[in-house]
Parts: sequence; C-alpha cells; structure tokens
Amino acid sequence: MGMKKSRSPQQGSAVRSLNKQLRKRLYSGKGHTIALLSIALLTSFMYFFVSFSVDRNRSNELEYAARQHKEEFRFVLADPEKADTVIKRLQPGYDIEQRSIAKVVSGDRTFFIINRPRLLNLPNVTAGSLPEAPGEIAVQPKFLESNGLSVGSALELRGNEYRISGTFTLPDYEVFMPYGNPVQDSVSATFVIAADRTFSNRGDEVQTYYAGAAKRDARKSEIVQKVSEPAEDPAFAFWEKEPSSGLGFRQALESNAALARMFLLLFGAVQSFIFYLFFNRFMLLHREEFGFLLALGFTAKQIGAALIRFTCAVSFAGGVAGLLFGFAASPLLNRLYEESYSFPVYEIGLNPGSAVSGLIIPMVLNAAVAAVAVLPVLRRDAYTLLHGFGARAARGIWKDATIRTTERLPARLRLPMRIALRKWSSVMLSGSAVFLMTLLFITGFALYRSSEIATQSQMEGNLYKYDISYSEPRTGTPENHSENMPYLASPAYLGGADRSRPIRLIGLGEGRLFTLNDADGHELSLADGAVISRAASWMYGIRIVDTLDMRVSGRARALTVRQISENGDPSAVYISRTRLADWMGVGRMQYSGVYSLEPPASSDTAYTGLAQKKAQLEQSAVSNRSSAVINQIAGMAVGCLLLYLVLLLHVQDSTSDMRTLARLGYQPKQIRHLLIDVYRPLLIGFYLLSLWPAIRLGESILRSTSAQTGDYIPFSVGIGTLLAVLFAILLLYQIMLALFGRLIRKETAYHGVRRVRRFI
Amino acid sequence: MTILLKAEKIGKRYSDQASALKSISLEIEQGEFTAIVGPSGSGKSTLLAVMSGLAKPSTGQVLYKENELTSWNAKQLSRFRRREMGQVFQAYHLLAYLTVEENITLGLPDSGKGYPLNELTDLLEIGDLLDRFPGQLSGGQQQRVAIARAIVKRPSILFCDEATGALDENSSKKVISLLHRIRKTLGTTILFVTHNGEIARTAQRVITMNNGQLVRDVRNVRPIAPEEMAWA
Repeated sequence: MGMKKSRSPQQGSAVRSLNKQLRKRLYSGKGHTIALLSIALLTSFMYFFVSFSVDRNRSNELEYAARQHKEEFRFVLADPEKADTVIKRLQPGYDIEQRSIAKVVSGDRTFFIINRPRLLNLPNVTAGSLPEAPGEIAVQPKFLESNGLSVGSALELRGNEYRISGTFTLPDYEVFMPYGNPVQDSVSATFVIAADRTFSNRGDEVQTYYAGAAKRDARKSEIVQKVSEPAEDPAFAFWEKEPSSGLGFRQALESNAALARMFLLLFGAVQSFIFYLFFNRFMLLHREEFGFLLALGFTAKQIGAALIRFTCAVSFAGGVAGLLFGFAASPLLNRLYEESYSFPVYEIGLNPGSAVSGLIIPMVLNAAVAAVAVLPVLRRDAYTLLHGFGARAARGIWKDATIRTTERLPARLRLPMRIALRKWSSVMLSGSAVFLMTLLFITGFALYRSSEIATQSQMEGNLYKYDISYSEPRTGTPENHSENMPYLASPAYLGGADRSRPIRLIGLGEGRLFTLNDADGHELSLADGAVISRAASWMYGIRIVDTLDMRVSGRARALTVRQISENGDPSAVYISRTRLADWMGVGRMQYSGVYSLEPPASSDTAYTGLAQKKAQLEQSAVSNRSSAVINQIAGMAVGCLLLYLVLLLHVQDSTSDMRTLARLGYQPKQIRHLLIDVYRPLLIGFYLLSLWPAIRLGESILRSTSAQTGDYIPFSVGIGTLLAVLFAILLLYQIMLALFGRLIRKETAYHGVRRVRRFI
Repeated sequence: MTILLKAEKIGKRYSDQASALKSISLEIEQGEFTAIVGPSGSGKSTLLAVMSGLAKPSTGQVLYKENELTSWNAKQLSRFRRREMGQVFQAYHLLAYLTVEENITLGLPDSGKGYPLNELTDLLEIGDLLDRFPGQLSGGQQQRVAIARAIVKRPSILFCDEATGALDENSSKKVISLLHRIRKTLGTTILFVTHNGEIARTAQRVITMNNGQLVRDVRNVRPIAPEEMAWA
C-alpha cells in the first residue's frame, strides 16, 4: 500500500474531468489534429495573404483620393465659347476646374506639363513647394532620384531652364494622357507641374479640358441627377465619367479583395466539410464512450461544448498561424503593385473587419458543422451508443449502389474498389480534392498564358509603328506621313439606356497598316456591319448577329455584329469610316487619327508607339502571372491536404481489415495493393469526371474577372495543361502512398496493428 | 417495504429486430439486491437500460419514486443520472486519459458533494491507485474503480450490467462481496444483471428472463454469502 493522500472532491470537478478526457481524446489523434490545423491555416493564409496587401492600400487610396479631392469626371466642351454657361450650370453641385496640359519632348524624355491644380486632384507635396513663379517647376520624386537631381536644381526643357521648386505625387497617379501615350514611368515620360503663366510664356500648343467632382457637401441624389445624361448633351464634345486615371490600382485592389473573399468562401467551405467529416468519424469511433458519458448524466450540451471548444481552438490557432504567414508573404503582392502602378506609398495592413472575418467566420462555420455532426449523436439513447447500434445503419442506398457498380469490374479491382467507395464522405472528399486541384491548376495555367494571348491578339494585324490621334477630326492628306491609314474614332456607350459600358467606336478606312483578320489570317470586311475582336466577344459575351445598342454623339444607334476578328482592341467596335462619319455628322473624308510608319511631325501631337503599346500590355501580364502562381500553390496545398485526409480516413476505416489480412498471412505489399493502390485508378476517374466542370468553371471565373476589371484575360487550355494536372495529382498521390505504405508495412507486422489506431 | 422503481407493461422494439422486451411489469423495493438472470439475448440488459432511463421503452412506463421517468426530458434524466443512480458495466468504461481519482470524481454531481474519497477508497481497497491511469490496472482493480465511481454520489440505486463478466473468480467474488457490503452499509438498492447462476444465489430476489419476457420472479429465502459461491 502506498502513502494515502487526503483528497476531497470539489464542486465542478466532474465537469473538469469530463473536459480533460475529451480534450485529451481529441488531441490524441495527431494525424487529424495536424490535418485540421493545416486546413484552417491554409484557409486563413490564402485570405490574409491577399487581404494584408489590399486593406491598408485600399484605405490609403480612398483617403488619398478624398483628401486630394479627386476628379470624378472630365469633359471637353463642344463650343469653348460657351464655357461660362455650361460651367455655371454644373457649379451648384460640382467643383469644376480647367486643366491645361502640354507635351514637351526634350531629348529622349517626354514631359507632360500641367498647370498647378488648385481645386481638384490636388498634388501631394513630398519636398519643397509647388511652383509659384513662371521659372519654377515641380517634378515627381522618382524622376528627381533617377536623374540625380535635388530640389533647387536646374532643369533644361527645350532650351529653357527651370528651377525645381519641389516634388509631388498626383492623386491621378496613373495619369490621363490626352496624347494617347502610355502610362508615365516617371523617368522617360513624366508629369511636371508648372506655374500658371509658364504656358502662356512658352507659347506651346496647349490642350484644355475640364475636371469635375461633386462638392464635398453635395448630396448623392443631386449628383446623379445632374450628370446622368451627359452623352445626350450637345454641350460636351467629350465626357468621361469615372476617369480611368487612378482606377487601375483601385480596380486591382477591389478585384483582389474579391479574390480574398472568394478564397475565404471556397477554402472555408472545404474546411468546414473536413471538420464535419472528422466529427462524423470521431463520434462513430468513440460512440461507446459518449454513451457512457451520457449514462453518467452528462448532458449533450456539456459534451458538445467541449467538442466545439476544441473546434474553435484548432480553427483559431490555424487562423492565427495563417494570419502570421499571410503577413509574412504579403510583401510579394505589394511589390507587384509597386511594379504595376504609381501610387505614392504602398503599405501592408489589415482592417479589424478583415481580421475578424478571416479568424471568426471560419471558426463559427466549423463550430456550426461540428454541432451538426455531434449533437444528433449525443441526443440518441445512451444505451444505443453504448451497444454500438448506431453503426449498424451503415447499409443503405449508397452501399447498395457501390456493390452494384463494382460488380462488373475485373475481380482484382472489385473488392478494393468496393472498400474505397463504401463511404460517401470519402468519395466526396476524393472528388473534391481532384476537382479543386484541377480547377486551380487549369485556371492558373490559363492565367499564365492569358497575357501572351492577349498581347498577341492586340498586336496582330498592326503593320503601323505609330497610332497618331488628333483632338478634333481633320480633313485632307495627313501631313508628313509617307504611308498612312486614316481612321475616325468616337467614344460611345454600349448597352442602350444605362450606358454602363464605355467603348470606342472606330471607323476604318482604306489602307494596309491595320487589318482585322479571321483565324486563317484573311482580312474581314466592314461593309456589312460591325466587327468586334475575339477579346470583346469573349469578355462581353457578344456573338455574331447580336445587335449592339449604343449611343454615339448623343443619339441611339443599333449595330449588328457581322464578324468576329482574331485581333483588335478589346474595348473597340469596328465599322466603316463612312458610316461613322455619317453618325458623327462629319464629312466622309474626315479622320481623327492615323496609323502611320512615322511619328507625327509636331511634338505636341498625341501618338502611341507600337513598342510602347506592347510594353504596356506586358506590364499587365505581371499581375496575371502572380495570380497564376497563387492559384497553383493553392491547388497543390489543397490537393496535398485533401488527399492526405482521404488516405488517412481510408487507412483508419481499414484498420480491422488490415489486421485480418495480416493474420491471414497477407504481406504488407499485398495489403497495400488491396486497400490503397485502388486510389490511383479512382483518382484518374475523378480527374476525368472533373475535367469538363473544372474547365467550364475556370472559363467563367476568368470571363467574369475580365468583365469586372476590363482587362482581357482569355481562357485557354491545351492537352499539355491537362496532362500536367494529371501528373501533379498522381505525383501527390505517390508522395502520400510512400507515407502510408511505410505505415502499413510497419503496422501490419506483429503487434503493429494497434499502433495504426493510435496514429489515427 | 417502499417501492423505489416500477415498470408497467414496458415493451422495447428495435427497428431491425424482434421485440427485445414484451410487456414487462416489475417492482423493485428499496434496499433490495435483485439479480436478473437469463440466457444471452433474453432481454435482461435491455430491461436494465429501460429501467435506468438509458433507453426509452417503445411502450409502457417506468416510475421512479412514483415519478414517471419515461416522460422526463433530457435535463431531468441527466439530473437523475448525476444524483440518484449509479451504473457499473462489464466493460468498466474507465476513461483512458483520466487518473483513477479523476475517473472516480467523474461520478460526482455538480455540487461536488458525495462519499468522502478516503473512506470510499478504503472500502474498495484502491487507495494506492489514485494517481494511476486505467491502462496500468488489472481487470479487478478497474472494476473496483468503476464501482467507486458509481457509488461516490451515494446513489439510491445501482444498476450493474454483467459487472463481473470480464473478471476471474477471485475478482468476481471480491466485487460481489463489495456490492453486498455497499447495500448493507449505504442502503443502496442494487439491480444486477448476470448470466451466472451462482451470483444470483447471493441475491435476495432473482428474476429470470427469456425471449423478452419475465419467466420467473422468486425471493431467495436463504441467500448464500459471496465467499460460498462455487465457481464453474
């Protein structure tokens, strides 16, 4: 007899013991705990990885836009003489400011000189001050740094010397270029702010437009009322609502915020399903213990609460770990923003709302599914659980269907297949693993290739080197261009009354420098109606013979799509030049732009070089490629986790079968063949079944992303991609097989079978 | 004598089986040691489960101290199980991750009030096992711990389902003798299911079941002492 201790039970000690037992029972299944923790971590990581790079930048962008009183629309007046009348009409609800912009080419650099904004798009001064005197200018910090200059330095612009008074960043950081040039890079093409009188002193050709924004205290209803019909108003020669300047970054942030939500939803659903399966199995395995606990008088609520606490703890721990990993990885996305957009500052940060969503929503979902799996079992008679009657109901429609389906298989596959398919939950999990992997890989590959296809489609058929555009339609022979192809262009709104989608209507004339081609490279005719590019057709779901309702120069027009070209601008509709001239009410020989082999004679004329256009397209490829990588990593991680779980559950279910087979003298290899190897043909089968839905879903994801962002992200899938996906699935399977094969070998040896249960 | 537990025409039928109990009526007196015997599948465990409120009868009712136990909700049943009754099973059902002491305290009601632990462990001769885990105990020791857990709350009635079924002769005799001592010292009513005729000979009353029905209900005029049991 040992030493006796004086012990006295305290109030609530029974419940404490209950909680301890359940906690230890739950955490003893290391394989499951790790899998549950990993899926919680993965869900949280995918969400926070994106959210960290979005939240702070998003609020910075909004705050920046609000602080600088960002313009909300731009217009050019049809008759500049009536400026006072038109502006007076808008001024009760809006701040309107005249903008002047001049393009100056000096050496190998292009400067866009703008007058100092005083009302809208207020510059953010980062050093020194904004120019006051005619001889002063302010430049962007990146320009200053890359040219080894400092505030106070002198800068020569086409023979005139200016003093740099300070540096600034503009709210319209991805600035509107009336000259059609691509986005400034702040080094070879950059914005410069000059004092008002600089323009008149220089005598340059200055382009003028007006910027507008609702007054800070204006009511939304007032705004909507006054700017709802600008396209019909003859006072405006050009009107652009929500100018594209700056929207690129906002759109990217918004689309990534949507991506984060999608990750949370998708992975959250997978996670909850896995938690459900876990508790389903857990209750089945330990039903006798639960029956006994009920017999002792513990309530379903007391037992359920302990299980739900475990769920919350694992979800939360995984969530916090995912948050930390997401934080660590998020600079990757931030760097991509930095490469693609010119915003003054890029920061990593998380809104409390996102933190709560990412940590609490999955936790609550998991707790809910745990309750759904656990409570019905705990509400059964204790006696039923104690005697395992609950397990007897297993034979049902699913098992009968499995037996019938496997009857026709070859003998060597019949039993293993029947074992593998006996549980609907395992089948669902395997199917989900393969489907998700296939979807994420196919979408990833398509994203990766999309930039190449988009660039190819927009560069094909372009034999010109320069796309020169004029602010007003012209007549006569384009000057100083040995070979050229004039065209007429007009902004238009697609979609009838709502005019929600601005497009560009291009009237092409005779010429060889730009042609719209079919798949065989044959030139398409514009004589019968409109031609749209494959990109526009794909993004907006427009087909041949569809009628496009649009508004051109304030009037409603209808166009029938006759053909779809393989190349062309995704946001343009092409018709004949004569028809567009009639619609615009200008002469049939007039043109507003020229495709040319030479640059314009005047440096103040706007143009886009083909090389610049290509560079611009390649810039947008960066984000697509990064998304592709994210997709593929997510696919691999999800596949790994789910396949691990599938095999873990399968081994768990097959423990007694393994034991019996080992006792009958079967070798571990034969047992593995019977119980595990069957998953290879099964996974291939699931893969084949997943292909069509995964391709369709991937296509619709890219299509809707394209339509939302206005960025052409074509979907493509080739046999190589499909084989690569299959290879990735089988590779993961092989890795899992090695893991479980070793385990089976070890555990089916003498005394070994008990350890399989412990591992589980 | 006071009637503690009463079954009125109880029947039990599982969905995929024939009737496990067929209209059984029975009264259990307070402080009595009753043995229920019968062959396997005769319905004795089911009868015990229905009488103890672990399973609901398909027909009939069970009254505990004149209250209809079969109409109680989950909360009332839980209170009954935590405060009034104890259970001992053939499979012990000790919780693997709890020490002997924690396993015993699992049987206490929420108030924590029960049999003093030291007295209880002396009675059951398990005082030196309190810090051990179930896996470190013999079958007999485990069953004594299970009995300690069942009686620590001072239950009015103790339900034992083949409580010695997994024990050897010596351990079985020890357990039976312990149960008789508990009945005497604490006045606990005991309902003991067994297929062992010798154990039944120690009981004051023996109920025999077959095919879901009571076939015999006799009072033992001269029950034998547990030590006198002749083990087959």
